[in-house]
Parts: sequence; structure tokens; C-alpha cells
Amino acid sequence: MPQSMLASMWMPSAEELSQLAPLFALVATIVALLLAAMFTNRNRNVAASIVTLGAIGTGLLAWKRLQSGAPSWAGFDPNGMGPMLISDTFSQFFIVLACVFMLVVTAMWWLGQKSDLPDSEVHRMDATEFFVLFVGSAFGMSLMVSTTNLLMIILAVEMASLPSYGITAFRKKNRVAAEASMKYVLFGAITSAIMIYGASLLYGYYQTLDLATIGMKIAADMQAGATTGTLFLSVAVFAFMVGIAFKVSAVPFHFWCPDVFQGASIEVTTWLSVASKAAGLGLMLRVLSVIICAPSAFPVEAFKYVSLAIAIMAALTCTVGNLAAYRQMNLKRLLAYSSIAHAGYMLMAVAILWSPTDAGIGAAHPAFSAIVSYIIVYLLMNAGAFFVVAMVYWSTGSESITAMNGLIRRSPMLAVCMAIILFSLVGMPPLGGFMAKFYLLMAVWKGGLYWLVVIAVLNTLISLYYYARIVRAMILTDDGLPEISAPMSGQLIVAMCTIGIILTGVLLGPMKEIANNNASNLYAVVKSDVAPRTASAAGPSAATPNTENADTAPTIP
Amino acid sequence: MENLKTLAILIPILPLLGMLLVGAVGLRFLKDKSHWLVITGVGGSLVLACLILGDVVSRVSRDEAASHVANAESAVGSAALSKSIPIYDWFVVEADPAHGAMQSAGWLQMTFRVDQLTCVMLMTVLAVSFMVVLYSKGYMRDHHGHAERGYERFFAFLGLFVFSMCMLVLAGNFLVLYLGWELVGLSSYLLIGHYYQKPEAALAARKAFIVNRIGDFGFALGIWLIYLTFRTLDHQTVFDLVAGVFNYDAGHNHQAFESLVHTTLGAQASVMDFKVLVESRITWIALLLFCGAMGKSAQFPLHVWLPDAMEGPTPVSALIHAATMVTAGVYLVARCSVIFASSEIAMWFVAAIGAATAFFAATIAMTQFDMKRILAYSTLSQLGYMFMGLGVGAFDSSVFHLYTHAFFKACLFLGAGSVMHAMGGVIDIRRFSGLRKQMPVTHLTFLIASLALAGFPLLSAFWSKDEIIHAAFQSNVPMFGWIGLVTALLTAFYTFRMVAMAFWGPLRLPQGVEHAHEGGIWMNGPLVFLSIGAVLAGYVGVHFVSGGGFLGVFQPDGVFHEFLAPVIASAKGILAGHGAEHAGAAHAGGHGLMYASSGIAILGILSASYLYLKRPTIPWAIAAASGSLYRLVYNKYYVDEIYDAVFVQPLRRMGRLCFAIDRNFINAILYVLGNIPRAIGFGVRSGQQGAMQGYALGMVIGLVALIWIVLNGIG
Amino acid sequence: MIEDAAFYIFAGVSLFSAIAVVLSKNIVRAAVGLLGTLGGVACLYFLADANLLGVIQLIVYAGGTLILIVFGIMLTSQSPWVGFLPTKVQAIAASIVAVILTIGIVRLVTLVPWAQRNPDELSQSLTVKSIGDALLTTYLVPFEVASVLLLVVMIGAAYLARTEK
Repeated sequence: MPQSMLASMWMPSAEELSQLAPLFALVATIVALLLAAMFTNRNRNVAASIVTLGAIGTGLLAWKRLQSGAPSWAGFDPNGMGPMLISDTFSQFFIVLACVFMLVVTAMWWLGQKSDLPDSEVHRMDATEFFVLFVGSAFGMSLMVSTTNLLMIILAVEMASLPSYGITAFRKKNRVAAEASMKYVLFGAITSAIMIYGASLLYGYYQTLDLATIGMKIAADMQAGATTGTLFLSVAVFAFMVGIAFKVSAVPFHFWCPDVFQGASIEVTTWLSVASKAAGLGLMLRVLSVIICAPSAFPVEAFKYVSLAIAIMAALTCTVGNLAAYRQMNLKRLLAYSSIAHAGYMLMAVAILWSPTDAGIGAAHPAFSAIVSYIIVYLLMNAGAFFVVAMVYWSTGSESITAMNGLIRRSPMLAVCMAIILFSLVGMPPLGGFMAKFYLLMAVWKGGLYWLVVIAVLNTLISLYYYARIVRAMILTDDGLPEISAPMSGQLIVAMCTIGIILTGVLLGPMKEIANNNASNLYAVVKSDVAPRTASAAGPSAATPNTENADTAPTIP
Repeated sequence: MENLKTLAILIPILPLLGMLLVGAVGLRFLKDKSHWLVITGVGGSLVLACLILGDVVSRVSRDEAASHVANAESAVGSAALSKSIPIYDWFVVEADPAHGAMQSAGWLQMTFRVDQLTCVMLMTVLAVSFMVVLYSKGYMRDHHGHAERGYERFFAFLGLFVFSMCMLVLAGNFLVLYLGWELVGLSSYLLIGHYYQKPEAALAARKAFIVNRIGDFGFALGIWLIYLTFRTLDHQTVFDLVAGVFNYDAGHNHQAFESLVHTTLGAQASVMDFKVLVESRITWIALLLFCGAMGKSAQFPLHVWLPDAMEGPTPVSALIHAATMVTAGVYLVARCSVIFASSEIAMWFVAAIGAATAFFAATIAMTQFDMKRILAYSTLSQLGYMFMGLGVGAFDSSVFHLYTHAFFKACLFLGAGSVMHAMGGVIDIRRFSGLRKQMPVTHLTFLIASLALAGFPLLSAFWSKDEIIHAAFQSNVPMFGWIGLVTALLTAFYTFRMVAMAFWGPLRLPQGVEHAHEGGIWMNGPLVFLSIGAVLAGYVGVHFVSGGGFLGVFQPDGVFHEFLAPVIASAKGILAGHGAEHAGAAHAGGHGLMYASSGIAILGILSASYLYLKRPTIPWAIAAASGSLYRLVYNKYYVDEIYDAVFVQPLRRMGRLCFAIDRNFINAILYVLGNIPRAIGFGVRSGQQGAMQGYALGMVIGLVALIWIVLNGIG
Repeated sequence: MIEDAAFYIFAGVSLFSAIAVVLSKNIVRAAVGLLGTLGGVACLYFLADANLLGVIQLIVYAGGTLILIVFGIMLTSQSPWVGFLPTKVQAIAASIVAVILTIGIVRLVTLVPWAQRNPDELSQSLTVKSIGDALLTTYLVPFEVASVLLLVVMIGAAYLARTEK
């Protein structure tokens, strides 16, 4: 290797860089924020405008790539050691979602600063720092869905987590916020440690950071009839998944979630409740699609145990989430537990995807699209619900469930929207929540994990109780609280979320199509790109052509 | 087909759009001009419904012309009418492949269906809706023209209702039908509770909702049973299958039926097994569906919600609780006529429930004083007629009555609303009288509609009601015919009792009202239109022959019946197969009955007018003399009280018990569960530090336990 | 032979220091224990020919981070001798879990054959130069992402540490 000359050093080509335009746009937003703060004397409106523009720009760039139908691209691979970054339909889709949600949260910030509550005061004063951290975590989440490299995954998770710790503690004078952030940091650190340990086991054994190559090597081992690695592999993979499970707040890694959701200001809570979970699930899907795709023709026994562990985790997650939400009086905390429960439902489909049985592989595709559609609906539901809570909070200064009393009189529009959102969260037909859950559970059922379906249905029954409690407070209890002065644009966002929920329920066919396309595209990535690349990179042990298997495994209907 | 599809999609969309726009811009910007959005939406739908009617009529006539010249190729126009129009795929049901090839890739589709029955319903619903929306523009304001509180909301919900009702009648499969069914229930709930500050209104809304739930539960079970039996929810497929089963022994067209069975249920399905299955379940299906119809159309014993629903604004009572939504049950039975005709028990049950409701509701109406409640009981009674007609196989007559009833009953309600508006909210006919001078338009239109309701000869209800009574006499149980006649007398009596007390006699106004005045053009216009409808609407169901005496020029079975005939043909065929007398167009020769019912109507009108105008003491004396009987009827046979004692109180006690369990038992468990991590953390000391370590410890323990469980699996 | 002995010595030092960190009831003593652990690990790096890594470990962790921790304790706590006692339940549960984890990890690591690399090739790839090259070629993206991460975190830390005006 001619390492002495700078000129001979590998440089990414312009074409390669252009593939990453959305990610660059996010970083550019951070830089612009800092520069603007310097020149405009930390003007908060400028900062918010920059974030808005940045989110729109990033979203448009990602949307353009999503629409162009360009083949997936995997790059930054100078030594043939596997790509560092991947840009395909799947990642662009998640980036678009993240940008939409950034806009929602920014809108919430914009509206919230008008109220004279202590936390909006903080956000007003230090908007630049807030937005830098905020965009930073968005950048991390975008990275999470754009890579298959162990090192990059760990970095991306940290990139998403560390700024999140910061914005959680943003209300410096608030004890609850500080404590929540402390917990968040500590648990984040512990789970990161476990995750990195799992990653190091994988790296140490397979001598590569590229997950696709690891998948190939696993397949080769299986083909060679090696079974000694089963226990090792299942523990290593599961330990690696722990870091992601932390991001989606799966039990028993959920302890941070209620405290953080309660302690953080409502913009942050909204952001974390959806974006963090969506990114985590996206990463889970990415990881397993890359690892599993290659050896799917051989049932890898280790994955059965990973599947079992995730299934148990999923069952625990939604049960604990729902039971804990049962008694909550604080709305943010209640929604936090509800989001834990929803993460549990989604994890059920993830468990199916890890399952190596025939039924599991058959279900892979429906489960995939089920999760993607669930994430879309979940985004709408949570954005709407948190927005309503936020507007009630700005108007009353209270986050208690009693602040909702008589909302049907105080703001009929909000109450009706909130009721629809809550019923969708329960999963009532014909709303989006029902459809999403229906598909999810159908995928799980077809995957053969019947007991999970039973648990999910029982959990739905429990969840009906506490969601209905909010509805009851809004409609049946009225203790004469004054009317809510909800900003028009906020009402508009809530209404749009509600309409979206109704439409996703009623216009399910078209939505399902989108989800299907995404899922099949992800498989297409794995098939077309990873297989030939890894076949050459995997070394002699994987020399037997696995491309055939990769081709036959994921059937796209 | 495309033309039909576009129209069918647009019809429900327009009112929905109106509603959404009111929500989006009406509340803030248009405010008391929001009605324009909904008026435009409903009016547009009405125009489209006319177009769709024209389309359907032209198809039918083209086919007729084609059949004369035996040109088979062009005779496909009306074939499209008996097919569902797919709008889009709703969601996929991947049922197990053991059942049916159709199911393995079965999208549950949004399908509409446009046929003759749909057209009739659409025209009725939209014409009345349009009138009521116009009327509401005048009604929902005070005398100075200022909009009431919640004006925009009212119009938004009206739009929602029209949308839902259109969905209901356009539905091409049972799922969409159910969707529309629930949506009208929801809009009815919202509109009854419009004055939600009034506790009675809120209670009435809740009562309507809950009682409807009971019926809908049965309805949902029925749909479920249909799916289990036929493995499809498409209307026409189900009807064809049922007709195939029940015409099987009659022995024509076996092949078509068998191939239909195979395409629906899978190639390996046994036709004979299927036949036995359907025969054993059809009565249950019909009865369960009728459960839904009883709830929505407020038939005994689920009728209790309708009188209370009069707490809603009067235009709502006119539109939803008289003319349109409550007839959804009639529509359902007429739509599923094949299913009902296949079960004699179900038919008998429908007729019996209808007859009982017709009679009892009429007796209650005789004793009430609240104009709107009298009209509500009258509605119950007329709906009873319709169900009686359905039960004796006169499906077309019932739909005909539905259609005429919509006009005169809406007119009556709007008239009552006009009175209420003028009397400052007072509606008790004991507190005012002699309004005819001060409210001439209301009086005249109300009188015409009352005559129509009473069955005065040559007005609309005369034709339709007569047909039903006639069909009842022709049926296996002539008793229904007698009940019909007696009820007709009661109807004429209570109608004119109301007219006499409210409009005739000396002028008397309630306290605080100096002068009763008309509601202006917005209110009078619809009244006039509807009263014209009350006079003329019946003539589409009559045809004229020369000769035959005074009433003999009129023969039943006009274009209306001819138009509807294809829809109910197969039901009629099945009934004929049962050998029932009432099948077929047996209306001819009913002139004796025509004279009899004319006489009865006039008798009722005259006696009521005489008693309440000239001898007002006599009714009171009769009421006093009959003592407990009068009280029984006046208190609506104590049905509400019985329900309260039998259902409501025990349920409430159960609810309290559940609440106690929840509070004392479940909460305790949750408390313990929720505090396990904290318990680990707290130990001796308290404080956040300890809790945090406890959490972390819990996390690691959980991880170890998880891995341990999984590894044990490997074990 | 000497290398083996050195390995065990340094490994022992870092292990016992780590145990001391966990068991120490005094937070400053725990910090000193941490110094032992980090230094021991740095020596292990040197033994494995990973000179650069060893130096970084010493400078960044043993030098920078640790001093920061000690300063942090000194500046924030009321007395330098903060007591730090876990509860009995916690202690017992934690020790059980720790024992199980240790056994599990040891079993896991000894379960599979680990790949052996050619020592010469390895030592060549561990030079400062090759690491620098790798950081700017193969690992360019992680390098850049890490820099963005540090930037963002720095701003967050500065904000949190800043006193209110």
C-alpha cells in the first residue's frame, strides 16, 4: 500500500458524497445554527427558522431520493471491508419521517414559547443550544437507520443518545428534569456497555465490523455444520440488541422512560417518544435484515433463542407498560407508559422476524411492513396526543389528568381529536391504530407465536381502561375549568394528525402498499448489494456462493 | 359503470366535505354563515342523486327496449345494477387457505351498490335532508336572526349525518353497511346531544346510543354469522347464494349456483353441506340482522330511545328521527329481503313486532301532550306499519310507505318546530291553541301533512298505508290487517287531536309570548315544499285506469313498484316457493278496503275534531273514567320503568361492584407490581440515589434472567 | 515468559483496583482505585504492542478523566469524604448478579475458538502511522461522526455547566 503519499489516499468521490446529502444537510443545520447564533446575538426565532428550514431541506432531499427510485447505495468502503453508510429507500423513508417529526416538534417549540411557563422561558433563552442538541439527536437517529457497520451503529446510537440526555436536562433549575436526565445517562451508559460488549464479541469472533459479512459467515458456519457457536452467537447478538432495546425502552431497559418523559419538557418528550423508538426499531429491522437475509435458507438455531428472548421481552414490555399506565395521573407519564406498551407490540413483530422457522421466514415480509405501518400510525397518534397535552399544559400549567376535565366544553375541537387519537391508540376500528395493530398481530399469528397474540389482545383490553379514563375526564367530568386558549396552528396540527389517523384506517389499502414497497425495497437492498459484496469479502470460509440463498430467501409478493 | 361509480363516490363525499370545511374554516371565519357550506354540499348531492336516478332509469328502460328486440348484447345496462362497485381495497384478510380460494387474497373492499332501491333511498334522504338543512338556517336562530350557540357545530354534524346516511344506503357489502350504520348512530348521538348543557338532552343522547348498541350488537353478530356461513360479505353474492339455496329444490339453474358456491367457498366445498348449513342458519341470521333494525328503527322493545331523542333540535328530529335514519331498519330488511323471505319465522317475527309497535305506539300517542312526542310515537307507529308490511312480504309497499312517510312526517316535525320557535320553546299543546290565524303557512302545511298522516283519501299515505294493510289481509295472519285498520283509526284520531288543540279553537299563547309569528322564508319554504310532497308523492305508486267507480280509477302498483320490482324479485320468488298467499302483485281488487280505510280516516278526523273543539270536557272525562288504564298508556306502559328496574339498576350495582374491585383489589396488585424495582432500591434508606441503583440493578437482573431463560431453552 | 508474568501482574493490578473501586466506601479512595485500573489496562495495551492505545489510555483516561473526576468530587461535595453505602439488599443482589455474570461471561468467552492473527501483521497494523491512515480512509466516516458528536455534546455540556445570568 502506498501510504506515504497524501495524493494516493482514498477519497470519497463526489457521487458518493451526493448520496449522503440528507445527512450532510442535518450537519449543515447544526453548523448554521452555531454561526447564526454568533451573528444574530442568539436570536431564538432565527434558530427556530434554521431548524425548520433544515428539516424541510433534509426531508426534501431524502424525499427526492425516495421518489427517484434510485437503487440503493452502500458506500465509504475503501478497503472492501464493508460499507460504512447505506443510503436506500428504507433509510430515506425513516429520514423523511424524522424530518416530519422534527417539524412537528419545532412547531410545538414555537407555540410553546408564547406561554409564560418556566420551561418555555428556558427554551426561549437558550434556543440555540436546545436546537443544536435537538438536531444532533436527529442526526444520530438518521445515522442509526443508515448503516450496517457495528462501529457506526454504536456511534450512531451514542450520537442519538448523548444530545437526548442534554435536552432532557435542559430545564436546569428543574429538579425532576435533572434527576430524569441523570437516570437517562446512567442507564444509557449501562446499556451502551452491554451493547458494545456484544459488538466486541461479534467482532472478535468474526473479525469484521460489517454485519452483512457476519451474516455470511454465520451462514457459512451453518453450512459447514458448526454448532458450537450457537450459544455464543445468541448471547452476543442479544447483548448487541440490548443497546437498541434501550432506545425503544423495552422492559427491563425501560426504567428511564417514565422519569425522562415526565421530567423533560413536553417538546423533548414528544420527540423522544416517537423518534427514539422509530429509529431504534428501524435499526433493529436493519440489523436483522442484514444478518438474517444471508443464512435464511439455513435455520440458524441461535436466532431462535434471540427470537425467544425478544418475544419474552416484547410480552413483558407491553404488559408492564400497560399495567403501569393503569394508575398514572400524570399525562406525560401515562403516555410514556403507553409508548412503552406500543414498543412492546412492535417488538412482537421483531421477534417474528428473528424466528428462523419456516413460518418465521414466511412472515418476515408481512411483519416488516406491519412494523413500518405501525410506526407511521404511531407517529401520528403520539404527535397528536402530545400536542393536545401540550396545549392543555400551556393553558393550565398542569400535566395532570384532571387538567383534561371538561375539555369537551373548554375546547370541543381538541377533545374530539384527542378522543379519536386515544381510541386509535387502543386500536378501535376503523382508525389507523386498529389497522396497524391488526396487521401486526396477524403477522405474529402467522409467524406461529400464538401466545404473543393472546398477550397482545389481553393488553389491549387493559389499555382500553386507562385511555378511556382520559376520555371520561374530557367528556363526563366537568369541574368548571376555564376554556382552553389553544393556538390555531396547534389545533390545525392536531386536526391533521387526527385526519391522518382516520385516513390510515379508512384508506388502508394505499397505505399498506407504501409499507409493502418499503419492506420489499429493504429486501431488495440486501439482495442486490450485500450479497455479492460480502461473498467476496467474507474470505475463504464463505467462499461457497451464498447469493443463491439470498435470492431465494426473501420472497416479495 | 364508471359513470355510476363517480356519482356514487361523489354523493357521500360532498356533505362530508361540507362538514370538514365547516370544521376547518366555519368555526373561525364563516361563523353564522357556515350553513352555506353544508347547503351546497347536500344540494350538490341531491343533484347528483337525481343524475344517478336518471342513469338507472335509462339503463332499465334501455334494457326493456332491448329485450323487446331480443338484442342480448345491449341488454347489459341494468346488469350493472346488481353488482357491487368496488371503490378501493380497504384491507386484506389473509384467512387460512382451508377456506375458499377467494379468501386467500381477500381484500375487504369498500364497495358501493347502486340499484333501484338505493336510488329511492338516496332521493328520499337527500330531498328531505336538503329541505331540513334549509329550514335549519332559519330555525337555529333567535327572532333577531342571531345564530344560536353551536350553530356551526350543528351544521357540521348535519353534514356528517348526510354523509353517513349516504354511506349506509350506498353500501355494497355488509361491512360498509355496518360502518354507515354506526356512523349514523354517532351523528344521531351528537345531534340529540346538541344542547348538551341541558341534562335531559345529554341523557337522551346517551340513552339513544346505548339502546342502539344493544341492537347493533345483534346486528354485528348477524354479520359475523353471515361471514362464517358464506365466507363473504358482499351483498349480491350473499343474496345469490341464499336465493340459490332456497330455489334449489324448485330446480332451475343448479349449475350457476354450484359454480357460485365453488368460487366463493373454494372448489372442494360441498354444495349439499352448504345448503344444509344455510338452511339451518338463515333464521338466526335474519333475526340477528333484525335486531339491528329494531334498535335503529326503534321497534318494541327497543323503542324507548326515540321519544327521548326529541330533546334534540327539531330539524334533527324531523330529519333523523322521523324521515331518514330511523328508516334504516326498514331499508336493511328490504335490502336483505332474500334473507328474510327465506325464513318464515323471521318474517312472522318482523310482522308481529311491527304490528305490535304500530298499535301500542298509536295508543300512547293519543295520551301525550308534547307535540314532538306525539309525533315521535306516531313515527314509531308508522315504522311499525312498515315492518308489518315487510313481514307480510310487501317489501315494495313498505319502501313506498317509507318514501311517502318521509315527506309528511318531516313536514309535521318542521311544522311543530315552527310552532316551538314561535312559542319560545313551549311545545305542550295544553298551553296554547288557535294558532291558525297567526301562523297561516304553518297551519296550512301542518294540516295537509296531518291529513296525509291520517290517511285521508288521495293524499300520499293513503296509498302506501292502504297497500300494507291490504297485503296484511292477504297474508297468512289476517289479524295483522285488522290491527292495521284499528291503528289507522287511532292515527287519524291522535293526529287531529293535536291539530285541533294546537291550531284551532280560541287563540291562546303561553306566558311571555305576545305574538306568534312565522319563521320567515327559510322555514316556510321547506314546509311548503314538503307539504306538496305529502300530497303528490304518493302518485308515483299509483296507476290510473278508466272506469271502476270513484276510487276505482286508481290502481296500486304504479311506476314505483315497477321500478323496485327487480330488487325484490328473488325474495318474491322465494315467498312464492313457500306457497304463501301474499306473494305476487295481489293488490288488485282492494277497492273495498280503500273505501273502508277512507271511511276510517275520516271518522277519526271528525271525531277528534268534534271532541277536542266542541266538547273538550269529554276526553278528560273518558281519561278520568278509565283511571288506571289511562295512566298505564299515559306512562307509556311503564316500559322505561321496567327497564330501569330489570336492567339498569342491577347493571349499576354490578358497575359499582366492579369499581370497588378495581379500587381495592386491582389497584393493590398494581401498587405492589409497580414498586418492585423501587422496593429493591429503597431497602433501608430512602432517597433518589437508592432508587436509581435499584433501577439499574433491576435492569441487569432482568437481562441476566432473560438470557438465563433463553439459555435454558438451549439446555 | 517475562511477558506472561507481566501480563498476570498488570491484569491482577487492574482487577483488584477495579474491585477496590466497587467496594470502597470512600469516594476518593474509589477514584484512586480507578487510577490503578486504568493504568493497569494501559500496561496491558503496551504488552500487546498497542503502544498508541496505551499512551492514549494513560493521557486521556488516567490523566485527564480521572483528574476531572477527582476535581469534580472536590468541588461539588460538602466534604471530601463522602460516604457511599449501598443497602444490604442491594449489596447481596448485586453480588449474586455479579457472580452469575462473571461465570456466564467466562463460560461464553471460553466456549468458542478465537481467531488467531499473525503477530507480525498485527504489530505492523498497530503503528501510529497505520492507525492514522485508517482513521482517514477506512474509518473516515466514524471519525467525522465522532467529531460531530463531540461538537454537539460539547455545546450541551457548556450549556449545562454555564451559570445562569
